[in-house]
Amino acid sequence: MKSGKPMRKVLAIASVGGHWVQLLRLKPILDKNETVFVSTHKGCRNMVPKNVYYNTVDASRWSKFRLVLSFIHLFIIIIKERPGVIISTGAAPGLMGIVIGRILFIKTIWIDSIANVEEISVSGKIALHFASRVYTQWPELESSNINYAGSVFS
Amino acid sequence: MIFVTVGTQAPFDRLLEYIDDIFYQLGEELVVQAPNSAYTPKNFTILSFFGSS
Repeated sequence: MKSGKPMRKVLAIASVGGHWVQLLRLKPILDKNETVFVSTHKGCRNMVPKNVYYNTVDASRWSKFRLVLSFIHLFIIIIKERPGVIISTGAAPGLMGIVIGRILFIKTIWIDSIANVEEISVSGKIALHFASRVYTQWPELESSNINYAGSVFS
Repeated sequence: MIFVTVGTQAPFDRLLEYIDDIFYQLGEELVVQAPNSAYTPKNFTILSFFGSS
């Protein structure tokens, strides 16, 4: 490796569905670093064939026990991979990743889903307390602690 | 071809029923992704997940 800062490993996490699609839109940027992906459907593995991929349990605020399982599994993954940055586009498992990042002093980035037009998501509001940076994809929702830098579809 | 997709966490059987009802009016090939559905359409098949290979 050349002198200077080594490239930081990124752990990118999103639930399957729209959250995952939005995360994959960032792949060209993520590919500048070594990126490990985490999602919640086995079918996601084939979409990132060149990356390390972990499948974890899907969870939401309506399935508290699965949230605990998700937290424990993600904790193990993060300890093992030791990423320099954790990034998530949601939802609950991504939030778990952000909270674990805070506990382990890892830099964390929450990108609120583009679906949240009127106000930031429930997870996003919680992420505000834990994440190093929180982004919205709508300029109207930008505030002192919520950043706006475009959307994943622009 | 019409692509129909619903959310990943909850079913949306009403939508599938409506599409089933108007299937012959549409006159198009349907590709439908709908996990966790209780409704079984008469006129088309449902795939639970599309992954790229």
